[in-house]
Amino acid sequence: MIVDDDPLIRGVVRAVLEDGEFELEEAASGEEAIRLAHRRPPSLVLLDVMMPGMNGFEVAEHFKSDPELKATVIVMLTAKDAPEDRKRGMESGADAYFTKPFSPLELLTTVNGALR
Amino acid sequence: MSESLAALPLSPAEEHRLREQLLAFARDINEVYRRERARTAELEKALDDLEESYLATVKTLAFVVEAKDTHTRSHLDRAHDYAVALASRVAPELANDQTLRYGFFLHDIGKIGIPERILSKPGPLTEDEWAIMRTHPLLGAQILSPVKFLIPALPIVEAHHEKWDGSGYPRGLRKEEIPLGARIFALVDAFDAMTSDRPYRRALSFEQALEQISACSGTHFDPEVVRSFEELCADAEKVGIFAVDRTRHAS
Repeated sequence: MIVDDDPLIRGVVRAVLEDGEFELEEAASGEEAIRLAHRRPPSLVLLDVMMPGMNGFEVAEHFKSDPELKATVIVMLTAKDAPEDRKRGMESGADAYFTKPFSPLELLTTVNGALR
Repeated sequence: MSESLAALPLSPAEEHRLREQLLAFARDINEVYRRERARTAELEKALDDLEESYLATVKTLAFVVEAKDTHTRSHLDRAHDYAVALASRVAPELANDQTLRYGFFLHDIGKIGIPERILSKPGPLTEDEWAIMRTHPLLGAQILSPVKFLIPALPIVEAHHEKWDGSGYPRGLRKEEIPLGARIFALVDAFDAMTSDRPYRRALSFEQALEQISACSGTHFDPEVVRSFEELCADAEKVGIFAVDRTRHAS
């Protein structure tokens, strides 16, 4: 699942990752992500940090504290590159941390590695 | 990213074009990545197949010699299996080395150059005949040396009759001068020979053979390797690695 309020980022991520082997869901906010996840828990979530409403850290914490969702691999995707952000990201339960502009190849490798 | 695009003085049409272009790049990266993965998988498969055919070739070559010698195909397979089991205990990185296995299979290839009358002589060999017999390790290495993928296996072929105390042949190497693979193989080769029937004697039992091996620790064999072999046998007792051979030899 890709969670980002920016439709362009969602579009790029879809274009990079989509390969027919797994389904890619899109959510435009943290709240939507959680709603979708409860309907069908995703294996992996690409999570933007700076979003209106719930931010990425809060969404990650929600996932990791929910027994149904805590197995989900969380990859933080953010424009920020402050070290304290990375620390916060790890504390909130993120498994990996990408800064924008992210490398599409790195994204592919990480996602494929986590899902296979 | 969209913020930076928005900051540029772009008309909606230009922005749309740029977005489409970006998505096209992204789709291409996806496509290239998938093609590369498929290609890598293909190459890995080809490599596996190639290794398999190497091994088949090596075994065929080895069986040619064994057919000529008094040994049997099962001796080769057994000695190889023992050697791999022992190698994984002594030096795990060695056991994963495919070329070491080639060496185990091909150790006696030089016997192809030893006259039939010496190889299959029923009685003991004369001194001259022994001198010829003792050339087989070097002869084997010579035969195999043009084959590039077998070069790492040559030390085993050359040194599988060397002894820890220097009394072996062809070079009389001592202790660590003998490559580890050859020290391992010398032990399992002797063990399997002892636990197999020969025209001139009955097979020793598993326990008797192990005693003989232990008795030759520090003279014939590397004490470290002997210790590992004893452990392996003790474990084998528990898990039954040698179960088939034991029932066969114990009778």
